[in-house]
Amino acid sequence: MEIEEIKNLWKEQKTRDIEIKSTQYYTSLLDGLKKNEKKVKRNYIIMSIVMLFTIFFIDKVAVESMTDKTMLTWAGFWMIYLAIAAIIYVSWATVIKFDVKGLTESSLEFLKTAREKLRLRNRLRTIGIPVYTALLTIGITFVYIQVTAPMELIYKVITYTLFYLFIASITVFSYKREKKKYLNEVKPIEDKLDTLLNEH
Amino acid sequence: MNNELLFKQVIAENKDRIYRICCAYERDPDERDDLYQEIMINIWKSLDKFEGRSLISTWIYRIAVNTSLMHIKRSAKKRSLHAEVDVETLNIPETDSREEKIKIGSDIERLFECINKLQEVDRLIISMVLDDLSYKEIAEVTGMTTNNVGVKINRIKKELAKLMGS
Repeated sequence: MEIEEIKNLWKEQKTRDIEIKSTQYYTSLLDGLKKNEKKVKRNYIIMSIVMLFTIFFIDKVAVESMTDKTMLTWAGFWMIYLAIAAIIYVSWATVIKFDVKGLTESSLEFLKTAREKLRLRNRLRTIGIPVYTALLTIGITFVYIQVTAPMELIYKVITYTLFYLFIASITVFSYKREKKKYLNEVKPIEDKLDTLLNEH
Repeated sequence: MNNELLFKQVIAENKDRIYRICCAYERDPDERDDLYQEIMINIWKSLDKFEGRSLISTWIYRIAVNTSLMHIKRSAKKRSLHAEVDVETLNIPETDSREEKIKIGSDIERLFECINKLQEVDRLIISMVLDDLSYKEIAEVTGMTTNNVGVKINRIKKELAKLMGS
Protein backbone atom coordinates (compact mmCIF):
# COMPACT_ATOMS: atom_id res chain seq x y z
CA MET A 1 0.00 0.00 0.00
CA GLU A 2 1.38 3.43 -0.97
CA ILE A 3 1.86 6.12 1.65
CA GLU A 4 -0.74 8.36 -0.01
CA GLU A 5 -3.32 5.59 0.27
CA ILE A 6 -2.38 5.09 3.91
CA LYS A 7 -2.67 8.83 4.45
CA ASN A 8 -6.17 8.88 2.97
CA LEU A 9 -7.18 5.95 5.10
CA TRP A 10 -5.77 7.65 8.19
CA LYS A 11 -7.75 10.78 7.51
CA GLU A 12 -10.96 8.81 7.09
CA GLN A 13 -10.98 8.36 10.82
CA LYS A 14 -12.93 11.23 12.29
CA THR A 15 -13.72 11.89 15.89
CA ARG A 16 -16.62 9.91 17.13
CA ASP A 17 -19.17 11.89 19.05
CA ILE A 18 -17.53 11.05 22.32
CA GLU A 19 -19.49 12.36 25.17
CA ILE A 20 -16.91 14.28 27.11
CA LYS A 21 -18.98 14.32 30.22
CA SER A 22 -16.43 16.04 32.32
CA THR A 23 -14.89 18.62 30.02
CA GLN A 24 -17.45 21.30 30.71
CA TYR A 25 -17.27 20.37 34.33
CA TYR A 26 -13.51 20.35 34.24
CA THR A 27 -13.18 23.70 32.50
CA SER A 28 -15.30 25.42 35.11
CA LEU A 29 -13.47 23.57 37.86
CA LEU A 30 -10.04 24.49 36.54
CA ASP A 31 -11.09 28.06 35.97
CA GLY A 32 -12.35 28.31 39.55
CA LEU A 33 -9.29 26.54 40.91
CA LYS A 34 -6.87 28.77 39.04
CA LYS A 35 -8.66 31.94 40.13
CA ASN A 36 -8.82 30.71 43.70
CA GLU A 37 -5.15 29.74 43.74
CA LYS A 38 -4.18 33.13 42.37
CA LYS A 39 -6.00 34.79 45.27
CA VAL A 40 -4.60 32.33 47.78
CA LYS A 41 -1.05 32.88 46.55
CA ARG A 42 -1.46 36.65 46.71
CA ASN A 43 -2.77 36.36 50.27
CA TYR A 44 0.06 34.02 51.26
CA ILE A 45 2.65 36.41 49.85
CA ILE A 46 1.19 39.29 51.86
CA MET A 47 0.89 37.08 54.94
CA SER A 48 4.49 35.84 54.61
CA ILE A 49 5.85 39.36 54.21
CA VAL A 50 3.88 40.63 57.23
CA MET A 51 4.92 37.65 59.33
CA LEU A 52 8.58 37.85 58.36
CA PHE A 53 8.50 41.55 59.15
CA THR A 54 6.92 40.66 62.52
CA ILE A 55 9.74 38.23 63.26
CA PHE A 56 12.26 40.88 62.24
CA PHE A 57 10.50 43.44 64.46
CA ILE A 58 10.33 41.09 67.45
CA ASP A 59 13.98 40.15 67.00
CA LYS A 60 15.33 43.66 66.48
CA VAL A 61 13.08 45.70 68.73
CA ALA A 62 11.39 43.56 71.37
CA VAL A 63 14.19 41.06 72.06
CA GLU A 64 17.00 43.62 71.98
CA SER A 65 15.18 46.22 74.05
CA MET A 66 14.29 43.77 76.82
CA THR A 67 16.96 43.30 79.43
CA ASP A 68 17.26 40.38 81.82
CA LYS A 69 15.15 38.02 79.81
CA THR A 70 13.99 35.01 81.76
CA MET A 71 13.73 31.45 80.44
CA LEU A 72 9.98 31.98 80.19
CA THR A 73 10.45 35.11 78.06
CA TRP A 74 12.79 33.25 75.72
CA ALA A 75 10.31 30.39 75.56
CA GLY A 76 7.65 32.94 74.65
CA PHE A 77 9.74 34.42 71.84
CA TRP A 78 10.61 31.00 70.45
CA MET A 79 7.00 29.94 70.59
CA ILE A 80 6.06 33.00 68.52
CA TYR A 81 8.85 32.29 66.01
CA LEU A 82 7.86 28.64 65.79
CA ALA A 83 4.18 29.43 65.33
CA ILE A 84 4.93 31.95 62.56
CA ALA A 85 7.43 29.70 60.76
CA ALA A 86 5.07 26.71 60.96
CA ILE A 87 2.06 28.61 59.66
CA ILE A 88 4.07 30.04 56.72
CA TYR A 89 5.42 26.58 55.85
CA VAL A 90 2.10 24.76 56.11
CA SER A 91 0.24 27.48 54.22
CA TRP A 92 2.62 27.30 51.24
CA ALA A 93 2.45 23.50 51.32
CA THR A 94 -1.23 23.73 50.41
CA VAL A 95 -0.66 25.70 47.20
CA ILE A 96 -1.69 23.81 44.05
CA LYS A 97 0.94 24.00 41.34
CA PHE A 98 -0.02 24.42 37.71
CA ASP A 99 3.52 23.88 36.45
CA VAL A 100 4.99 22.25 33.35
CA LYS A 101 4.84 18.88 35.10
CA GLY A 102 1.11 19.13 34.57
CA LEU A 103 1.71 18.52 30.88
CA THR A 104 2.82 14.95 31.46
CA GLU A 105 1.27 14.25 34.82
CA SER A 106 -1.97 12.37 34.41
CA SER A 107 -5.09 14.35 35.03
CA LEU A 108 -6.16 11.83 37.64
CA GLU A 109 -2.96 12.43 39.58
CA PHE A 110 -3.46 16.16 39.26
CA LEU A 111 -7.03 15.90 40.53
CA LYS A 112 -5.94 13.78 43.47
CA THR A 113 -3.13 16.19 44.35
CA ALA A 114 -5.47 19.18 44.10
CA ARG A 115 -8.04 17.45 46.30
CA GLU A 116 -5.39 16.55 48.87
CA LYS A 117 -4.09 20.12 48.94
CA LEU A 118 -7.57 21.49 49.49
CA ARG A 119 -8.14 18.95 52.26
CA LEU A 120 -4.89 20.06 53.88
CA ARG A 121 -5.92 23.70 53.55
CA ASN A 122 -9.22 22.91 55.20
CA ARG A 123 -7.38 21.23 58.06
CA LEU A 124 -5.15 24.28 58.26
CA ARG A 125 -8.28 26.41 58.68
CA THR A 126 -9.96 24.18 61.24
CA ILE A 127 -6.95 22.88 63.20
CA GLY A 128 -3.80 24.74 62.11
CA ILE A 129 -5.03 28.28 62.67
CA PRO A 130 -6.46 27.60 66.17
CA VAL A 131 -3.19 25.86 67.16
CA TYR A 132 -1.23 28.79 65.70
CA THR A 133 -3.40 31.26 67.62
CA ALA A 134 -2.99 29.27 70.82
CA LEU A 135 0.81 29.09 70.42
CA LEU A 136 0.96 32.78 69.66
CA THR A 137 -1.22 33.63 72.65
CA ILE A 138 0.83 31.47 75.00
CA GLY A 139 4.08 32.88 73.56
CA ILE A 140 2.96 36.48 73.95
CA THR A 141 1.62 35.72 77.44
CA PHE A 142 5.05 34.39 78.45
CA VAL A 143 6.65 37.60 77.17
CA TYR A 144 3.97 39.73 78.86
CA ILE A 145 4.70 38.09 82.19
CA GLN A 146 8.09 39.82 82.15
CA VAL A 147 6.84 43.01 80.50
CA THR A 148 3.99 43.48 82.97
CA ALA A 149 5.98 42.35 86.01
CA PRO A 150 6.58 45.89 87.33
CA MET A 151 2.94 46.93 86.73
CA GLU A 152 0.25 47.21 89.33
CA LEU A 153 -2.30 44.40 89.42
CA ILE A 154 -5.10 46.48 87.90
CA TYR A 155 -2.94 47.41 84.87
CA LYS A 156 -1.90 43.81 84.52
CA VAL A 157 -5.55 42.75 84.48
CA ILE A 158 -6.41 45.43 81.93
CA THR A 159 -3.43 44.54 79.72
CA TYR A 160 -4.22 40.83 79.70
CA THR A 161 -7.94 41.38 79.25
CA LEU A 162 -7.42 43.70 76.30
CA PHE A 163 -4.86 41.36 74.78
CA TYR A 164 -7.09 38.27 75.08
CA LEU A 165 -10.12 40.19 73.85
CA PHE A 166 -8.09 41.38 70.88
CA ILE A 167 -6.91 37.86 70.07
CA ALA A 168 -10.42 36.43 70.55
CA SER A 169 -12.09 39.03 68.34
CA ILE A 170 -9.47 38.62 65.60
CA THR A 171 -9.87 34.83 65.79
CA VAL A 172 -13.66 34.92 65.63
CA PHE A 173 -13.66 37.49 62.83
CA SER A 174 -11.12 35.66 60.69
CA TYR A 175 -12.70 32.26 61.38
CA LYS A 176 -16.10 33.52 60.22
CA ARG A 177 -14.57 35.20 57.17
CA GLU A 178 -12.55 32.10 56.23
CA LYS A 179 -15.56 29.82 56.74
CA LYS A 180 -17.71 32.01 54.52
CA LYS A 181 -14.95 32.07 51.90
CA TYR A 182 -14.62 28.30 52.16
CA LEU A 183 -18.34 27.69 51.72
CA ASN A 184 -18.71 30.14 48.83
CA GLU A 185 -15.50 29.56 46.90
CA VAL A 186 -13.69 26.40 47.94
CA LYS A 187 -16.51 23.99 48.78
CA PRO A 188 -17.99 24.10 45.23
CA ILE A 189 -14.51 23.35 43.84
CA GLU A 190 -14.09 20.48 46.29
CA ASP A 191 -17.48 19.06 45.29
CA LYS A 192 -16.57 19.23 41.61
CA LEU A 193 -13.23 17.57 42.29
CA ASP A 194 -14.98 14.79 44.20
CA THR A 195 -17.42 14.27 41.33
CA LEU A 196 -14.57 14.03 38.81
CA LEU A 197 -12.59 11.68 41.02
CA ASN A 198 -15.64 9.47 41.45
CA GLU A 199 -16.08 9.39 37.66
CA HIS A 200 -12.52 8.09 37.30
CA MET B 1 -9.68 35.69 23.78
CA ASN B 2 -10.64 33.98 27.00
CA ASN B 3 -9.56 30.44 27.75
CA GLU B 4 -12.98 28.91 27.26
CA LEU B 5 -13.29 30.32 23.73
CA LEU B 6 -9.70 29.49 22.86
CA PHE B 7 -10.22 25.94 24.15
CA LYS B 8 -13.35 25.47 22.07
CA GLN B 9 -11.63 26.81 18.97
CA VAL B 10 -8.53 24.71 19.47
CA ILE B 11 -10.59 21.57 19.98
CA ALA B 12 -12.84 22.28 17.01
CA GLU B 13 -9.78 22.60 14.78
CA ASN B 14 -7.81 19.67 16.16
CA LYS B 15 -10.26 17.10 17.51
CA ASP B 16 -9.83 14.68 14.61
CA ARG B 17 -6.05 14.80 14.88
CA ILE B 18 -6.25 14.19 18.60
CA TYR B 19 -8.62 11.30 18.14
CA ARG B 20 -6.34 9.72 15.55
CA ILE B 21 -3.46 9.88 18.00
CA CYS B 22 -5.67 8.11 20.54
CA CYS B 23 -6.41 5.47 17.92
CA ALA B 24 -2.72 5.05 17.22
CA TYR B 25 -1.90 4.58 20.87
CA GLU B 26 -4.92 2.82 22.31
CA ARG B 27 -6.83 -0.09 20.76
CA ASP B 28 -9.48 -0.53 23.40
CA PRO B 29 -12.46 1.75 22.52
CA ASP B 30 -13.35 2.57 26.14
CA GLU B 31 -9.75 3.24 27.08
CA ARG B 32 -9.43 5.32 23.91
CA ASP B 33 -12.33 7.53 24.95
CA ASP B 34 -10.76 7.95 28.37
CA LEU B 35 -7.45 8.86 26.75
CA TYR B 36 -9.21 11.37 24.49
CA GLN B 37 -10.87 12.92 27.49
CA GLU B 38 -7.61 13.04 29.40
CA ILE B 39 -5.93 14.83 26.49
CA MET B 40 -8.75 17.38 26.46
CA ILE B 41 -8.29 17.93 30.16
CA ASN B 42 -4.53 18.34 29.83
CA ILE B 43 -4.96 20.78 26.97
CA TRP B 44 -7.32 22.85 29.06
CA LYS B 45 -5.03 22.61 32.06
CA SER B 46 -2.05 23.84 30.07
CA LEU B 47 -3.78 26.45 27.96
CA ASP B 48 -2.36 29.28 30.04
CA LYS B 49 1.15 28.08 29.28
CA PHE B 50 0.86 28.33 25.52
CA GLU B 51 3.23 31.15 24.69
CA GLY B 52 2.78 31.27 20.94
CA ARG B 53 6.38 30.25 20.22
CA SER B 54 5.17 27.31 18.19
CA LEU B 55 2.04 26.62 16.19
CA ILE B 56 -0.84 25.77 18.45
CA SER B 57 -1.38 22.54 16.50
CA THR B 58 2.21 21.49 17.22
CA TRP B 59 1.76 22.35 20.86
CA ILE B 60 -1.49 20.35 21.01
CA TYR B 61 0.31 17.44 19.39
CA ARG B 62 2.96 17.52 22.07
CA ILE B 63 0.34 17.43 24.83
CA ALA B 64 -1.61 14.67 23.11
CA VAL B 65 1.49 12.57 22.62
CA ASN B 66 2.84 13.15 26.13
CA THR B 67 -0.53 12.20 27.59
CA SER B 68 -0.71 9.11 25.37
CA LEU B 69 2.79 8.02 26.38
CA MET B 70 1.90 8.46 30.05
CA HIS B 71 -1.29 6.54 29.43
CA ILE B 72 0.67 3.64 27.91
CA LYS B 73 3.16 3.61 30.75
CA ARG B 74 0.37 3.61 33.32
CA SER B 75 -1.32 0.63 31.76
CA ALA B 76 1.04 -2.13 32.69
CA LYS B 77 -1.19 -4.80 31.23
CA LYS B 78 -0.39 -6.03 27.79
CA ARG B 79 -3.08 -4.94 25.43
CA SER B 80 -4.29 -6.97 22.53
CA LEU B 81 -3.24 -5.51 19.23
CA HIS B 82 -6.17 -7.14 17.53
CA ALA B 83 -9.49 -5.46 18.01
CA GLU B 84 -12.77 -6.55 16.55
CA VAL B 85 -13.91 -4.33 13.72
CA ASP B 86 -16.98 -2.46 14.83
CA VAL B 87 -18.19 -0.28 12.00
CA GLU B 88 -20.41 1.67 14.35
CA THR B 89 -17.39 3.00 16.21
CA LEU B 90 -15.73 4.16 13.02
CA ASN B 91 -17.01 7.48 11.99
CA ILE B 92 -16.23 7.06 8.36
CA PRO B 93 -18.16 8.96 5.71
CA GLU B 94 -21.43 7.48 4.49
CA THR B 95 -20.83 5.12 1.63
CA ASP B 96 -23.26 3.50 -0.77
CA SER B 97 -23.05 0.02 0.59
CA ARG B 98 -22.66 -1.53 3.96
CA GLU B 99 -20.01 -3.87 2.51
CA GLU B 100 -17.91 -0.93 1.44
CA LYS B 101 -18.31 0.66 4.84
CA ILE B 102 -17.15 -2.54 6.47
CA LYS B 103 -14.21 -2.74 4.06
CA ILE B 104 -13.07 0.82 4.87
CA GLY B 105 -13.66 0.21 8.55
CA SER B 106 -11.62 -2.94 8.38
CA ASP B 107 -8.78 -1.15 6.52
CA ILE B 108 -8.74 1.62 9.11
CA GLU B 109 -8.61 -0.92 11.91
CA ARG B 110 -5.78 -2.68 10.14
CA LEU B 111 -3.90 0.60 9.73
CA PHE B 112 -4.20 1.38 13.44
CA GLU B 113 -3.17 -2.15 14.32
CA CYS B 114 -0.05 -1.76 12.20
CA ILE B 115 0.73 1.67 13.63
CA ASN B 116 0.26 0.20 17.08
CA LYS B 117 2.99 -2.33 16.33
CA LEU B 118 5.55 0.42 15.72
CA GLN B 119 7.89 1.78 18.37
CA GLU B 120 6.44 4.57 20.56
CA VAL B 121 8.44 7.34 18.89
CA ASP B 122 7.81 5.92 15.44
CA ARG B 123 4.08 5.90 16.15
CA LEU B 124 4.29 9.55 17.06
CA ILE B 125 6.27 10.45 13.95
CA ILE B 126 4.07 8.53 11.52
CA SER B 127 0.89 10.00 13.01
CA MET B 128 2.29 13.45 12.31
CA VAL B 129 3.40 12.47 8.80
CA LEU B 130 -0.07 11.13 8.04
CA ASP B 131 -1.56 14.35 9.37
CA ASP B 132 0.64 16.33 6.94
CA LEU B 133 2.81 18.08 9.50
CA SER B 134 6.01 19.46 8.00
CA TYR B 135 9.44 18.05 8.88
CA LYS B 136 10.12 21.24 10.81
CA GLU B 137 6.97 20.82 12.91
CA ILE B 138 7.71 17.16 13.54
CA ALA B 139 11.23 18.08 14.59
CA GLU B 140 9.78 20.66 16.96
CA VAL B 141 7.47 18.16 18.63
CA THR B 142 10.01 15.35 18.89
CA GLY B 143 13.06 17.48 19.64
CA MET B 144 15.02 15.84 16.79
CA THR B 145 16.87 17.59 14.00
CA THR B 146 15.03 18.02 10.71
CA ASN B 147 17.55 15.75 8.94
CA ASN B 148 17.12 13.05 11.53
CA VAL B 149 13.37 13.31 11.18
CA GLY B 150 13.68 12.86 7.41
CA VAL B 151 15.76 9.72 7.81
CA LYS B 152 13.41 8.27 10.39
CA ILE B 153 10.33 9.02 8.32
CA ASN B 154 11.70 7.11 5.34
CA ARG B 155 12.43 4.10 7.51
CA ILE B 156 9.04 4.21 9.27
CA LYS B 157 7.15 4.59 5.98
CA LYS B 158 8.85 1.45 4.65
CA GLU B 159 8.15 -0.44 7.86
CA LEU B 160 4.50 0.60 7.87
CA ALA B 161 4.03 -0.25 4.20
CA LYS B 162 5.57 -3.65 4.90
CA LEU B 163 3.28 -4.23 7.88
CA MET B 164 0.26 -3.16 5.87
CA GLY B 165 1.26 -5.47 3.02
CA SER B 166 1.89 -8.51 5.19
